[in-house]
Amino acid sequence: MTNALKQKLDAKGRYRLRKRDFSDAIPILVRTATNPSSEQQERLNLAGYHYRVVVDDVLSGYVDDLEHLEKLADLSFVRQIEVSAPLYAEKN
Amino acid sequence: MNKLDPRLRYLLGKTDRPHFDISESLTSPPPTVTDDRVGVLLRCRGKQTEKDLRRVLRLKGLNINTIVPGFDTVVTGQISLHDLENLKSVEFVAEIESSRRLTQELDISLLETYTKTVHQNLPAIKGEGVIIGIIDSGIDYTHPSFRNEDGSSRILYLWDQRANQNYSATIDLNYGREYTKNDLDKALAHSNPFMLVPHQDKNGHGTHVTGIAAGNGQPDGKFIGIAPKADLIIVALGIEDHTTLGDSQRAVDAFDYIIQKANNRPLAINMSQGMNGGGHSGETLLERAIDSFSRRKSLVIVKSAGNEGGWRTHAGGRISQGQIVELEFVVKANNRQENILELWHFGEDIISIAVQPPGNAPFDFILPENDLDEQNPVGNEIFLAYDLDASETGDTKATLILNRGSGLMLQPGTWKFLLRGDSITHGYYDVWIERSYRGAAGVEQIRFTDVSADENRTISIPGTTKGIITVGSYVTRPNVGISAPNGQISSFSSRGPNRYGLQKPEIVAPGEMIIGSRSQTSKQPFQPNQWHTQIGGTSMAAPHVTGAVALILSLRPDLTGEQIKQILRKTARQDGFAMSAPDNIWGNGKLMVENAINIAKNVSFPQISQVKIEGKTIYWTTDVETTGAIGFHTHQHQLQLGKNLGSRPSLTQKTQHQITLKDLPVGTYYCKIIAFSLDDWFTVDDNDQEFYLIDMN
Repeated sequence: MTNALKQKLDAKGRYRLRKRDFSDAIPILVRTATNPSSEQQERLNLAGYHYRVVVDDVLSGYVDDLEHLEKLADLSFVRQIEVSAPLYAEKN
Repeated sequence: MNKLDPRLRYLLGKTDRPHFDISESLTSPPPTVTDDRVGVLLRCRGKQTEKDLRRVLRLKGLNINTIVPGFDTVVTGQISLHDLENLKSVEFVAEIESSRRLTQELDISLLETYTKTVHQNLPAIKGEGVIIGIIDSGIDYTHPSFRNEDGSSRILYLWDQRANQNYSATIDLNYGREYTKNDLDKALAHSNPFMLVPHQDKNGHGTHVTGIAAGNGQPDGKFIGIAPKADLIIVALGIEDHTTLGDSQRAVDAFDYIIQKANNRPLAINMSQGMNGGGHSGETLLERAIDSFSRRKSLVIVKSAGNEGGWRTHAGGRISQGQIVELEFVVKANNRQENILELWHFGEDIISIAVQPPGNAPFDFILPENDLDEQNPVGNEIFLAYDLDASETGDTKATLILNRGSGLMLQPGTWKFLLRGDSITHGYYDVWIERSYRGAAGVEQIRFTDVSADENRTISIPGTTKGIITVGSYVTRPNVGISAPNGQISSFSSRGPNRYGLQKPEIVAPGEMIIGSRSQTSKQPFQPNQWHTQIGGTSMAAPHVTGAVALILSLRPDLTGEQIKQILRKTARQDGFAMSAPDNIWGNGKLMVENAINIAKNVSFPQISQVKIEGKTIYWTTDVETTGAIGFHTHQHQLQLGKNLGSRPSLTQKTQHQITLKDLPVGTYYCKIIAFSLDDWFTVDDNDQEFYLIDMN
């Protein structure tokens, strides 16, 4: 795991990487330093981040594998990467 | 506290009318009334004997049917309306509630939230022109409650995220399947709708939630949601292992989808699911996305507070320099899943952590720059990692993950999570246990012991962020033998505040037990018939507020989520058990739709303009006379999350304001402006989250 990825990926994501728990694409949320410009969005694409939603500085999408996750983390304007977390219904 | 429930007060108010027919006074069918006598349930406090109780109550005119002893004794019977005041005067009588037939009980929510009058007055307000978005398990789109009088669908769009794919295996940007109203109308006209639109809500949660917010009461007209004329956009999240309901990344996609499809029409979105992982002040990216969405006009997002009240999934307190705090949590047998604990504290503090499995010595304390990756003697994996400056908040997060590893199960027994205060400035800490499979008896959810647990700060994420309206639950139909008394906060309803001290929840609504729409393809019981079922939870409380928001938006589509939040808070009821409000249990009190609508009709919020910075002074103008303040912080992200380092007031009512920052340490200060009108409505200008910068160097 690169230093950049270690710094930007949350601990739960690092744990899953350590366990090689990603058999398929990795759904992730990404925060960028500022609202990403079109040039930055292109760089995200080139790094292998397939994103569906951009809402201000938060993006929602996936990368195909660990290699692309590392490329994504190497982008200086990428500040935070969260592996998608499960939600639970709140009926009692 | 008023001892009489709203129905009885209503009845008493009506009896002055000559030739009054009591059966007209409430909804159809009428309450349990014979001549002028009404069936009642009493809650009696104190230790009086049954004999004394019978004697006193009979003297007051009550014809007693049943006495149910308990912590509070419940008495049922009939009484003349004219004797109600006598009965109310009995000191040990704490509460008098009218008896209701089960079918009548379907209308509790409309009465309890004072929505019925809003529906019945002219012009009736039922949510016309507004869209309600529901992010949940899906919907029974064939249910009559979600169809127009001509049989067509009230659903404009339905996105089934789990359709046409193995949900967990492959993903694609255009995953799932979309159905338009046209698709749904064609299906509804078909003899077998599911041939054309195969979407089903086998879980039933989403159908029930939608019914509370927007059901039109069909087919029997006995349960009507809060906004029965609103249009609907539904997103069905994936359900995995019968436990989870979607995930954070796809929830962001769901919000975005609904907003795009709403195409700038007024929109209220309900989310009745959550998680515990995160700093509980808006740090997660799901919350940041929601905060961004919720800044848009005519868009309001509502979230259930969570049901963590009794689950002991939070511990928190203060630690001092050199102190070791032992937090104990219990692992039951057969736990075979990942169990996650997160510690959050201010970044100025240094807290080391050690883990102690049952019956073993603790592992060494781990300093924040290190990770722990060990196994205990039975092969369980113990992984501990720190995130300094977590989510760029300046705060520290430590994540502990436990799983069975090569063992059969995670070692059952009492584990210890040890904190050592190595360098302490503030000393506040919070630890949350992430939600996990709870099973029928909660067998696999690890929990803190009673001694270690703290039921405060248990609001589930994303309900902890400032941009959302978070809704707790109170009891309007007790689950016999389980629930708190009628009118009391639900024992499960999560408590605030958030980690930075922001009051949560904002408001409470009926959540226990609620009869609502039943998905025909679910296994939910018929309660009382095939079209309805009964569920409890803050999941059920939130859609009451979502519906109320839709009613407000139908009148005032120009308002923002923050402004509607202010209206709901200011008009909430603080009667009965809710007298302690505002607080972090009740929020500002019980949802009161009638007053909210009346206020919303004419309310205006101050406008801030002409902001400029000159040196260390910030100037602004308001359109009406206001008082004001600036809130500031040297850390932009903490201010974004709602945490102020300090504030400075402008206390004189005027339209031209200026505040000069002085006597502060050197640094760059991010500032936001708050303007308060004479009637105490406020507006915040944070320069679109960039803030106004004052350089104190």
